[in-house]
Amino acid sequence: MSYAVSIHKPSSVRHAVCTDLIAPGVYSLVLARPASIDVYAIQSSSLSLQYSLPVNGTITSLLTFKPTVSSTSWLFVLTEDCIGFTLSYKDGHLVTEQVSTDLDERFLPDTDTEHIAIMDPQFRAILLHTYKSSLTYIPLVQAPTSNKKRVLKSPGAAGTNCFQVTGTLYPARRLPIEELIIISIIFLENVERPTIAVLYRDGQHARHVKVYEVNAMGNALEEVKGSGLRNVDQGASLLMPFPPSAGGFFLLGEQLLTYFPPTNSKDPKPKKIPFNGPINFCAWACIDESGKRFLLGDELGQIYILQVRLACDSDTQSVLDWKIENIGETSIPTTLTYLGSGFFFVTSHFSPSTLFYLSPEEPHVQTVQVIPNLAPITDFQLVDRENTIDIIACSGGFKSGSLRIIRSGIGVDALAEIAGIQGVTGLWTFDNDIVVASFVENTMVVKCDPESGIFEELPGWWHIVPNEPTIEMAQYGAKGVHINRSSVTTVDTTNGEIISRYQSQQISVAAVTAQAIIIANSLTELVVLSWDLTIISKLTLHDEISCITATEDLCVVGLWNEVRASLYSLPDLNRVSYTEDLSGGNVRSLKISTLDSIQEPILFLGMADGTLHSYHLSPSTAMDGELTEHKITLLGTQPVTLYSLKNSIFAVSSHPSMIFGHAKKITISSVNVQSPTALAMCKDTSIADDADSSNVLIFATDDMITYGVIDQLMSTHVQTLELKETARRLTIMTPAAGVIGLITLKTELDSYSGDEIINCFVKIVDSSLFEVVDSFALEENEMAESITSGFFDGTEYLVVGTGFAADREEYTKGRILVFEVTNEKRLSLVLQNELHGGIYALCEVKGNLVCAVNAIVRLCTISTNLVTGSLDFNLQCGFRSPVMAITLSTYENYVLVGDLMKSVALLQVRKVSSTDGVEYMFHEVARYYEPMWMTDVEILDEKTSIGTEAEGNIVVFQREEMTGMKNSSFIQKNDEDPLLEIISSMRVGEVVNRIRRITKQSTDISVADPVVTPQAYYATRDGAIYLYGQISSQHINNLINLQSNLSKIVKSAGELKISSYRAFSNQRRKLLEPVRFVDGDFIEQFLELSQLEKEQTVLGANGGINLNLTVGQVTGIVEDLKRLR
Amino acid sequence: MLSSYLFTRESGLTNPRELRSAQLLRQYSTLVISDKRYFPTRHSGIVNALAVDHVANRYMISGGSDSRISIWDLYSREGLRHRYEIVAGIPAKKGHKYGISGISWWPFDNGMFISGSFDETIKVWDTEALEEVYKFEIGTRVNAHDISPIAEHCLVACAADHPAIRLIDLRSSGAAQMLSSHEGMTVNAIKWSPTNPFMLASGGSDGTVRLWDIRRSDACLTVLNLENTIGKGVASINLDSSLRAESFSSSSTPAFGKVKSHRGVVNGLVWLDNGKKMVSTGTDEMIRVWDLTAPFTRDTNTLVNFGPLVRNRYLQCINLVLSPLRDCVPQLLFFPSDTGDILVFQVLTGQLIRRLAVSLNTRKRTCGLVCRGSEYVELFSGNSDGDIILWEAEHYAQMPHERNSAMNQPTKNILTEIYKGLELENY
Repeated sequence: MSYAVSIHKPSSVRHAVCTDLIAPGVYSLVLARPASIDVYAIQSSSLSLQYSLPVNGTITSLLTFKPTVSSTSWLFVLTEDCIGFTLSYKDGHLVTEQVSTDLDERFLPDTDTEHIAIMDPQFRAILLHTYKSSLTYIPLVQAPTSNKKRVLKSPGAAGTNCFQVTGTLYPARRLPIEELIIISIIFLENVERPTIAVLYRDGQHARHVKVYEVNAMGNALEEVKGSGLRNVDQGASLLMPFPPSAGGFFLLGEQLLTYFPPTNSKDPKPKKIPFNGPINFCAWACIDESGKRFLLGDELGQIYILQVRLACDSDTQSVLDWKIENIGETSIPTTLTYLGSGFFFVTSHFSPSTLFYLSPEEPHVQTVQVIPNLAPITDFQLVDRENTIDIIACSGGFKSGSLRIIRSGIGVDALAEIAGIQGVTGLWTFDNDIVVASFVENTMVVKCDPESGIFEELPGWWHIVPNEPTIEMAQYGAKGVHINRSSVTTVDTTNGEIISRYQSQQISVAAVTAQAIIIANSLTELVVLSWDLTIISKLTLHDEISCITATEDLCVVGLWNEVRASLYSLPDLNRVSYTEDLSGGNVRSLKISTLDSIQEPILFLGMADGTLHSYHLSPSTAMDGELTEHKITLLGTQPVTLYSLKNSIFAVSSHPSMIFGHAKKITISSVNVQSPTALAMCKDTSIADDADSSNVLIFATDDMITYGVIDQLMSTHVQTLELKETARRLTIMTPAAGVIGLITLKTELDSYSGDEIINCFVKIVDSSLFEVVDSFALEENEMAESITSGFFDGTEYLVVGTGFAADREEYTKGRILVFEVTNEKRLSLVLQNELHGGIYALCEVKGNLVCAVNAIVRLCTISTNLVTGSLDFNLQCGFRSPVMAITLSTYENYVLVGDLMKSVALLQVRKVSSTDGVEYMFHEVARYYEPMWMTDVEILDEKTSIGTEAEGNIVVFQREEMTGMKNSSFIQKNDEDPLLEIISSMRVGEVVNRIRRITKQSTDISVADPVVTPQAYYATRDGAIYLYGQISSQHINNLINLQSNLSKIVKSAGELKISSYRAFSNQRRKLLEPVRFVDGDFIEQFLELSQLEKEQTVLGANGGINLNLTVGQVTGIVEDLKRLR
Repeated sequence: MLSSYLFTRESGLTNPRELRSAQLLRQYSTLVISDKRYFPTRHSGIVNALAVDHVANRYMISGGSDSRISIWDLYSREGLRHRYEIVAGIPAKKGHKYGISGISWWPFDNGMFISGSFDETIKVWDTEALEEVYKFEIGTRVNAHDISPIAEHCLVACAADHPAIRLIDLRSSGAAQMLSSHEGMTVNAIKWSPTNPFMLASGGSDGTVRLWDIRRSDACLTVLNLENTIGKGVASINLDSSLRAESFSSSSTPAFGKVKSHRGVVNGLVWLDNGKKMVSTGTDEMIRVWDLTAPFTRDTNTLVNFGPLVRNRYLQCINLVLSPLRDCVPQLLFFPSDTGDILVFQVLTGQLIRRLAVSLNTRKRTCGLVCRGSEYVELFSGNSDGDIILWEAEHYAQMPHERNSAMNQPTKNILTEIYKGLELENY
């Protein structure tokens, strides 16, 4: 029983419209992500997400139109399943107006391209291109009746403004079209009848333009003679209508811009003007309605302005000439939307979608706001860390190609930022928003107004000496203490007057409790002062003190030269005990804290190499020095600094973490902020809206101080390494090597021929510094296809598989490159071996290499030659996959082969002893026999594996010793022919590129009997990451029934059913509902329901099944599931 | 090429369907005789009938002129040479007395199949027990039969050496209806519409293809007229309606009598999956594509030219096979030509994609022909020698010889062995 929930929602944006959806004249930007519609309010210079509507379907098109009956515009949404619906915004919600179900046609083959939907500029009709050799025409106005007389009476009635766009989608018609491969379609402006221009490709890869008019009946296309053009530019990929002022349209080619004037104009001959190319345009936007200026975007993310000169000829205008000018650089666009007053929005698949401002000054294109995006994730690997798993992913493409660390953790939402304060080393906060910031050489006291970010200095507050850094401050009741290098000062906080001062030489560290002040004097001397600043006790240690922490009766001290901490009783400073010798260098930071749900206080020790140790203290520890439950955690690679928060600890190493108690266990979670240099909890601040201000933090980063509130929910945090080229595959080597290996692909445009030049590289990235340390260029025409790493013959190697592309033919030659990563983190090629085909996949099985060479999976051994000392490469056994083996997964000695087309086969590597020594052979264990276009496969355990399919489905295979088919048991099968059987299936709705199993069960820290056990992650080309898990047997029925009950309660946009959205569906097979699969994102919608709806769901209203649970129990289960992230 | 298709698929530059279409077209246009999988036993006579089950695409039935019926398991492992196994069968002369002319699986599950034979019977078999369930005496040789792939009416249409078409009902196990209007001596081909459960097409020795609506009293809807060629709508409305009245009035009107679909015996029929077009072939050595969008009386012959290679002179029913609907656009037509080749055409353009040559020296005619379900890209043909042949796409790379490649660095291995030998000596 399978469960899937998104860790990161798909972030690629392919469609955007700017429309007055919400109120007349108030424009919003509407973005369509694969499964949601997001409405952004356009503010003076920014966008803010106003409304997000989940859609139970993969959105393929988004259009907007304004019915004459409505004051605001509506949206038309088309899904992958060819269901179209209209939405309007009413009372703060997007409401479904009409669902058009007649767009789906069983007997027409789907197009090979993405769906195209276009809207007539006068809103007379919508035209869809979803099927080959057919267009779907949805009239928005009543078609003229077929009665001849009426047509005769009012000739051209359809062209005049006598129609009413009521917002109704009239029954769709199929318009057959000869052209099979349509590249671009547009509706033309300023025409009598709906007219389209079509850019298409014929079987010989030549491109042509044709203009068709929809006939008066609206049921066929009539070619407009003399207005098309044959054999246009090879690289032409886009048509662009010209506004009604002149009409006609542009064809954007690689070297040539062609203008097609309207057919009724005086000179209907297309006009061509070449430009300085090649430029592959892929998006456009019209800046002004007269058509004088257009924005054009190309595939490299360059942005151009097209300026058109119009000739005014009596009352008609015509296009005279034009010029193109490069004005700057943006993300790689999928669409461009002009928002008015100089702002334009670039939606992007490969880069973040971005709001830009067209400035009259240099630079002309200025980034205003960025909406992050991870798409496409082509590969990822998991790195286990204590209690969390890092996902390192190849994400983005082309110039936005990058390597990213995606980590789910506790979120800190920034409430306010105070910029302009640099180099903070310590922070303390007091009442009334007073912040004390210590720097290397001085201390500053400011009173902040977090709302506005304005601060004012308070010199002389608490009589703090400004030209010395502060070591420690604290306030207990009406007394405050301030410690700097030369003195300890106590003050009366009511009036700020000094009570007393203790002068000293060289205070290095200090700890304050309600009873005592402990300082390290002259580096080695430990002094306990009372709050009256009288010395209670003194002890000179044998080395310099690095850190101190204290409770009422216990003081823990770390020394610079010791790998352990010492425990002293307070106030008399008797040494009680030592900790054992701790791994990770010396102790750098100490804290004692109580955590939620854990009774005993816990001592945390942060070490120099990023290790964190923890001990439980007992009430008697001060007496007998008893330390229990020693735990070691690696937090990062930098020394650990600890900060106390209320019932939790904030730890900073190479990245920050939060340590808190959950279900009687210490839980560590990443925090999605940049590593702070100093941090404090806000005592009392006006910024938090709610009364509970205990979650408000203040922290300093490089150049600012930020107020943030801890969001207890996990969120995703992304760290990016920009590569500026497409990262395709990666592998993570052991910590000893400390590098991430990746293969990248760099595309450049030859400036003369316009051809793409592709270069591939093998790169290694230092995993702690997170930067590229070495790069190896492959040969010309050599494509890097796969990478893996592993121990072969006792040494860890990086192995890369390539293929030589010759004349667009299939690979007939490829190389296996074996690299050693040196201690200096450099690549050194130790072995290369040529094979007869491209190496599409590589993996390591028990010290041997398995490679997929075109259709053949081979096992190879890499061994050191005893004579020459060089490496030997030996091909062993082979297995032929039906069409092309494109992906491999291993588990122990099993190899799962994913074929391009004929699904999966499970092999086992067996050792055979022969006269020549040890030989290996593949034994086919089981196979799934039906065709399925795999994108990736992964073995979960001996019985189960997962596969993902090219049209966005995920299936779970189980090995079973089957006897015959279930529905035809007429034949006695021999039992030696086991099958892989699909036990669950679900449609993801996006192409899944990679699945990785979770090797370590580290997320089940809290609950003894988890509802769902996480087993794998999978990532999609649209930038989503999902968690796959196994539902525990006792919850299966509850979750399945909850899912089906919920689908009967939750209203969905376009009345799309979750069951049909999640049902397996491809060109071969369409199921009616997901099979043994629960969609976590959908289940979580339960929490957002009203109490009444929750009750209905639990009781199974509208024909559901009574769950026999209370609302509280169900809420508990769902909340537990939510915590999985 | 595949690598760039894979790159654009994973990065989202193109829709995954693009790779699929390109790959399927490549596979269908590189069909060759499988070098890995073969059928070990042969029929002692012509293999007339082949049928793959619709549920799992796993079991194939073959029937030959030796009156034997064999059921094969098509699940096969790749890699090594694979012999298809007969999992069950009916021996010669046990089931049918004479040769089998056609076999069809029950469309909705594979517990039942139907066989038609020259021994003047149609028999229904229980697959599990391999027992005869029903037997229908037709009275003349059965040339072809068909069962509707979508209908619930359980009618088997039977084309025999008799001008009338018999419909036999599996529910009542009796003859249900006779459809007569063919004027020749025999009906040679018959096919139910894939979309309309009551529509049937038949082709006979009178050179006509007729469409039937079995619910009507005068069931024959129309005769496809080869003279009605596609010309862009010039016929006036008046003429149109008169034509319609004429054609639907009665099948015995003189206008009807002269109408021909082929200038010879019609012996092969297949509907396109949308039910709007049909392909027929006749002994005039022509393949015609008919547009069946109503009214059927004009613009029916689309004049697609299939070129000069088509050979069709025998009267026996020819198995015309189309590639599965969503595999190729336009669909491919597999035509077993009398020369023994299977010709692969693009059905809507008539373009010859490939010529599958069964053998070079002997004249083996291909008789039975079936395409395994969608995306398998496997075509099974049975020829006049009794062999069944699997056609599958050519592989990207042939498997190098196992032994040789494992030893492809002999020099190094020898050195290693010498070294090992030296080591031993030291002991």
